[in-house]
Amino acid sequence: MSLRSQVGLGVALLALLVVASSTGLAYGWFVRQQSVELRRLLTEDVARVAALLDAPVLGAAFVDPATPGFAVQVVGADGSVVLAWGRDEPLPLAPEPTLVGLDGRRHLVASAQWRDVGGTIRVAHDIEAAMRTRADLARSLGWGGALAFLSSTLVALVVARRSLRPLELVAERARAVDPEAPETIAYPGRSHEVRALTDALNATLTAIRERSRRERAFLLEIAHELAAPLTLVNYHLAALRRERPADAELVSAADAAQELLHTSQDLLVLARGELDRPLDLALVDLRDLLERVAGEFPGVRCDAAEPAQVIGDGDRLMQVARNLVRNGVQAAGGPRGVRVTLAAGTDEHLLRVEDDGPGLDDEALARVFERGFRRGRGSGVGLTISKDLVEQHGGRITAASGADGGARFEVWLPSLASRVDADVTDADVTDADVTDADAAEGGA
Amino acid sequence: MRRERVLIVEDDARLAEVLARELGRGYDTVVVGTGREALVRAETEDFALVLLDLNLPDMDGIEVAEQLEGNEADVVMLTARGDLASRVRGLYAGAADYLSKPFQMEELLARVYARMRSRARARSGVVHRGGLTLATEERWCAYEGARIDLSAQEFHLLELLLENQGRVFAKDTLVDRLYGAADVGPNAVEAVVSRVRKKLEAAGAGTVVETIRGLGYLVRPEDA
Repeated sequence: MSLRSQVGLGVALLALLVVASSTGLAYGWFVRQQSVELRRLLTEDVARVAALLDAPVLGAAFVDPATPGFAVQVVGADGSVVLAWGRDEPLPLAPEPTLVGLDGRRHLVASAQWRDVGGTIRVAHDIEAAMRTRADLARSLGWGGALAFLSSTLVALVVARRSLRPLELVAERARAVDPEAPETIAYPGRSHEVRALTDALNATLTAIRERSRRERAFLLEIAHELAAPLTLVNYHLAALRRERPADAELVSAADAAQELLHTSQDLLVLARGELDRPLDLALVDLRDLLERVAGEFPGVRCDAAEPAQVIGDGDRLMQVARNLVRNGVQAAGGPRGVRVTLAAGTDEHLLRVEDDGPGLDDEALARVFERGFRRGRGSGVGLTISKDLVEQHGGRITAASGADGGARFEVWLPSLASRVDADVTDADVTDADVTDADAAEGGA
Repeated sequence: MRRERVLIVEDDARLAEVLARELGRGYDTVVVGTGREALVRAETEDFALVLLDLNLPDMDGIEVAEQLEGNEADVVMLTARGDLASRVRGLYAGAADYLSKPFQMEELLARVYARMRSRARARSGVVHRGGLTLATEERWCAYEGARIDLSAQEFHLLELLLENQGRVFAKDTLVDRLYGAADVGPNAVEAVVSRVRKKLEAAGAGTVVETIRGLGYLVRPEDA
């Protein structure tokens, strides 16, 4: 249940309680006062009648004929009506004022002993009008109460909604926070509670950002520490390998050093956030690039007959090709099982790397580009980076099973021809632009 | 023939030694380990290229790179910190390169050689492409012997594109290079490109400056 509904419901219940009890009290008080007053009037009338009968006054009347619903009787000891005004049928005996129904109308009746002869004076007041007033009051109190209840509930809901709005705003902004680079949330309102919440949230965000900044700085520090030794080990082993190509242990060490170098380059690309940096774009011939990569892995077959030009970042594309070939070499257990093919097309060029290794099962095919998914000895980031880089170049990469059971990776990249705007006309430059340029040129 | 000189600024002595050995095959090398020394040597001696590690013990490598900006020497920067690279990238256009550490020696050598070649082209004072000749020192342009009149901006644009054949220049980069701090939009660059194109086409040079959709402008190398 939302906070708004809770507040609304709470206020509604409170309003119901207040309205019900106050109208109840008001009604009860009115009824009591009215009943006391009616009884007092009746008792007075009985006393007045008794006094009049004891000392009659000329011209006095017990009952004003203009006042309907008022009856006075003098009843003898035998129960017969001796005198009657307003009503002939005997009224009931009532030592205390009592409510009785006469001819379908409510009356209040009272009686008193008269002259010690056993006769009684009986007086009845028709109180139907008073009762109607009472019912009218109950009705208006009911309607008023309901109206008060409804309007206070409505106001409560609106107020709850308004006062909880800043919370929704903060929640909305918190949802928009980029987990990679958490920026603090701005809260423009004046609510103290929401400001406290926002401040707490911002303190956490700042701490997270600071922590990730420190981690990154630490990684860069490590990267810096490792960079020179890795470069040196790789350099010296490569030089030794050229001198003694028959030394199997040396060759293995040199290969391992090179792999270490490339893996750390991949990891550093991630650590430095280089995937977020814009590409340094130039004309790149994929054939040159593939021949260079194949040259780094002697034994890999390279089938690239035609030049295939793309617009791209040469270093990054090199990294992609190198990752794919390295991946294949690892899967095939050596460079001889890897074949690289380049097929130049009109709109797209296709770069294919196949190996005769154990291949990829369905799960591996589905997850091979996920970060941390490892196939064989790889670091689990090379293919992820490759996919990202290929996509940054407007291309796509796929993994499949090859014809002979190994793995096949295919990269499509948009060709240079597809990116050159052949339809360059002067129409896209207006006279106003030219004037601007001339003005800027004159001022430069 | 006098060999070109390379200044190696690297505080890791082992790496510096290896770099000096490899580059020493083709160039005269000088190794220094601090930014101050580097600036002094670059100021007082002639170098064709400075190989600059951005992580130096005595001062910020970026600062060294900035102070070297007016120097005749080209700069190749080395760093294990990629964030520095993005900061220096905009510093030089066409006169600096960058390589992440760790690297393979072949990659570094390839960059240095490429930089030296383009430097040699630029130093000759003349850039050719097909029948097109741009004399960058004498400031004239001709196609197969016939002069083409270019304004200062047009010349500057063509110079940038021809000296960096194969590289794609974004409109924003060109705005920076052609107009510097002046407050002009990409439209101004479009207009300059358009006028250069018209003049080259009128002279019979054909399409030299190509538009790469959504990315910028490119002059292809002759053989590409």
